Amino acid sequence: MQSSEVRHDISDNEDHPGTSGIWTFVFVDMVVFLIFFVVYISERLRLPEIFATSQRLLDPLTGLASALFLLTSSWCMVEAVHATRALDGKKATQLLTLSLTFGGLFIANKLIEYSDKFAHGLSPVSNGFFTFYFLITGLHFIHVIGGMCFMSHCRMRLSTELGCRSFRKKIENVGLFWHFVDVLWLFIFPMLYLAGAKG
Amino acid sequence: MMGKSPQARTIWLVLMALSLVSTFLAEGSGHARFAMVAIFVIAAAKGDLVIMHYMEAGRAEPHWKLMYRGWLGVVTALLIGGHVLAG
Repeated sequence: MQSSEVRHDISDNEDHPGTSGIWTFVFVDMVVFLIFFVVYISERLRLPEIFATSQRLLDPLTGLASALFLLTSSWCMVEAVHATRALDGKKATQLLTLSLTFGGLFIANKLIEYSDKFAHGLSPVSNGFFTFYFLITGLHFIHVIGGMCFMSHCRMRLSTELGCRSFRKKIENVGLFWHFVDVLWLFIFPMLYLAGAKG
Repeated sequence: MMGKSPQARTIWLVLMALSLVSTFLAEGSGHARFAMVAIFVIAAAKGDLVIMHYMEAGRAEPHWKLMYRGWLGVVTALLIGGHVLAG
């Protein structure tokens, strides 16, 4: 098998979004987060009062702001993929910049939230809930940083690689990863910030 | 070719609106259990919109659509079931 065939799975269909590799990678990552959710729920069942009391220390509006930033960033990413397919490099660059900006706002919001928690003496070892809070949001945060690095890479290569099939697949892959990060937050937000806090 | 931009914009608006509704339900509803079930159902609906329209799972190999939607179903059932059992 040629190395180029290995780099881009020969089963990858030109009409399919992304490569089969990214769909597999993202799904495995989703299963990993599912395992975290299972353990979180099992601990929540064991310690309902501690979890509910601790959840009240989180600000739902901060979680909502994070959700709105990521959803907006995700939309810009979709539009950037559209523009890349249409070979509109200028528009794709602008949209990637916007997507990165909203990703940056998510990161800033999260860092402010973390610093506020530490300032109030809350850390990953405070109790079971905050262990999960820092672990799950921290892992998600790392995914956001990773996604933004991939996006920055695409933005830098856009002017020279626009029109290449491999670049189109690359930006579709980055888009798929970024939307997956968005989907994760769609569940992390209600799970940690909304559900059960008032119970 | 994938969905047109106006569709992506409409979906973004729906996703933003549903996020606001979830927060309102959690903060303002007097029925905690109903609100809890509703916010996870809304999260699942939002996830499905992202998977089908932004990730374009409908245009990928057919098994991915099944597996990603299956993940959504399992996570939603887990979170609702876990919170209902917790009382």
